[in-house]
This record gives sequence, C-alpha cells and structure tokens, in this order.
Amino acid sequence: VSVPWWKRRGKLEINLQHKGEGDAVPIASDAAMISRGIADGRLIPVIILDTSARPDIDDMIRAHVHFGPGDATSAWSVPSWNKVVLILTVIHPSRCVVIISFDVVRQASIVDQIVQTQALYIMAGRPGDRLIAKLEEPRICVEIPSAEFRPTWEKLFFNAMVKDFRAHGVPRSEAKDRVRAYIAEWRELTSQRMKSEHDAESDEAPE
Amino acid sequence: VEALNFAQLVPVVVSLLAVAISLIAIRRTSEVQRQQLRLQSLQEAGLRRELSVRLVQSELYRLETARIYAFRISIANHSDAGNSVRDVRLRIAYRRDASSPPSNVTPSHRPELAQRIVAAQAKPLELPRFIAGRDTIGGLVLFEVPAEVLRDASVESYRLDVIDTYDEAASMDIIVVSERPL
Repeated sequence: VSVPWWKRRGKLEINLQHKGEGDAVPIASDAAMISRGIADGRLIPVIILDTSARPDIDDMIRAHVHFGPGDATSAWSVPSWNKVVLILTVIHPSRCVVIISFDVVRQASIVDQIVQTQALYIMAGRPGDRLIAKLEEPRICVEIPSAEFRPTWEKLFFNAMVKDFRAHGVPRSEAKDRVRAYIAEWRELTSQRMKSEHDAESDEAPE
Repeated sequence: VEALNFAQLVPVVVSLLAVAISLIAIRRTSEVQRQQLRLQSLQEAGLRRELSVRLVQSELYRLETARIYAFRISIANHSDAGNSVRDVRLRIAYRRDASSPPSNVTPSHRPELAQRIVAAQAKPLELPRFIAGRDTIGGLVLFEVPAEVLRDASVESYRLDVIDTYDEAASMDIIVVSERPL
C-alpha cells in the first residue's frame, strides 16, 4: 500500500547539525529485552546501530550515562509501501538526530514491537555485534509515542504480511486469514509482561 | 456652446465641493489609520517576548573527574511584559577527530556547584526566576561536564542558551573561557 497523497500529513522540518545526520543509520542487529519496572515490565525492542560513521551517536549515548534521563522527540514516516522510517531527535543532554529505516516485510516484527510498546532501546555498535555480548554496554530507552501512527502501521503490516505469505506460496483465498491468525499470535507472544515486585506481592497475598 | 448661467453652475460647484471634502476626509481617515497601526506595532514590539543575555565573566575549573564551567551573566527582558527564566544550558560542540561529525553536550545550570568553587564570588542564579518587564537580572551559572565525556575530544565552541517560560531561547556564543585554579 502506497500512502496516497491526500492522506499524507504535513512536512516535518528537522534542523540537522551536519550532513550525515540526514542519512539513515544502519541497524547492526536487533533484539528485545524485558526489565522489571521499565515500561510496565513489557518486552522492549533493542536496536544496535552501526555507528561507525556516526560517533556523535556514541557520544550522545555516553552523555546519557553521565547526565541521566534526557528529552527526545520522535516521528514516523512512510516514504514507500515497503519502508518505514523512525526519526528521533534527541534534545537533551546532547542534541542529535537519528534516522532509522525499516523494511516493512523483513523488519516488521521490530517495528510492530516499537508501535505496541511505544518504547525502544538504542545501543551503539558495529556490524556483527549482538545484544548478548553487549549487555553491560550503555543504552538509552526512548519513548516513541505511536498512537497516531498505529492505524497506518496496522494496514502496512497486514498488507506487507499478506504479500509475503503469498510470495511464499500461500493461496490468495487463505492468505488474509492466515495473516490475521499470525498477527494475533505474534501480539500475544510479544505482549507478555514481567510482573513487578508489587504485582508479585499482591499475587502472594491471601484473599 | 452655450455659456452656463449661475443657476446651472451652483449644483456643479456644490458637487465639486462635496468631492473635495470627501477626498480630504478620506485622506484624514487614512492618516488616522496609519497612526493607529504605528501605535499598535509599537505596542506589539513592547510586548514581544524577548530576552537577551550578556556575558560578564567566563571561567573553567578543571577537576580530576569533571570540568566545571562558571559564567557570570546578566539577562535583560526587553519586553513590557514579565517573563521567567526556566533553564540555562551550556552547549559544548566537540570533535573526536577532524573528519568525524561534531558531537555536542548540553548540561543544565546547577547552582549547587557553587559550593565546590571557592574562587567564585558571585551568587549563583536560582532557577526558575521571574524577570519583570524592562528589568535585568544577573548571577552565576554553573555547569558540570564529566571528564569522561570530553576525553580525547577537542572543543569547537561554547554557546549559552537562556530558555524562557515560552520555551524560546536567547543564545550567546562564548569565545574565551579562561582556566582558573579551584
């Protein structure tokens, strides 16, 4: 589904500090992690960015470690039917623009998790880095308000999955139903929560 | 062509007079409107939310684990309306090497740092702080940057951002920062 021009929203102006900020930062790897007390104990996606050409992102993450929580704004953009772009503008304690481009078919799961949890962990790394080897490395948790983008994403996700299922030989008559079932199962799996200490206490308490 | 007699001339003269009076009235009205517009723009200029910042002194104290920047500043409110200073931030732009894109860090003013600087004489600015219309306030703004953040980096520029209650920033580039012992 390409977004028709009459449904497109206004342009977003972003002040870039250098030319490189306007380019999408490659994703080295992705994962998800669950932490008690963060984002209501939900599974939050983690993106390890390949920052070899963007040391300013390394510095921004380092600054967060020293200065504590900061401010950031985010926006979703749909440049084509198979691309979704997340534009993050970190304002404080370090100003930095991070553009992350996702392939709707290949990286649908991570985009869906971001949209559902409205949060994302960002880490700096190099190609080949995996979360398991970088658990002690600094990372920032960014809130990504996605309520406005969700209806668009639902359509994109569904249609991209239908196309993908059909490309893998699923007949047209079955594709939509199977995609609906797949999405429902996926959402159930990723919406698991880790109970907080308070929840655990209230579960144990006698009635 | 017959010459017009007096009786025929009267309505013509009266009409011409009416036209002349109307023209004068129109001109007068437009003048009054222009004056009103001028007064209105003056009034709007007076209410424009505009702060400006002036640097009196800038100092850097290098500690083992951090750098503390101390700036004595004065902030003027050029508006007739009151305003308030919400935050003061120091924006430090730096590079790891000449070819890499610039990084930056923007620590906020922390008045409690004054206790760590014996040499600082001025009173730190407590924020948020109200500034009445056409008034000026002054004081010391202090920023701490952990040494780790600027390690192996060369500082390119410093900029002070005074953020008001309307989230607008009055900025100033700082050219000279003199290093002082604690």
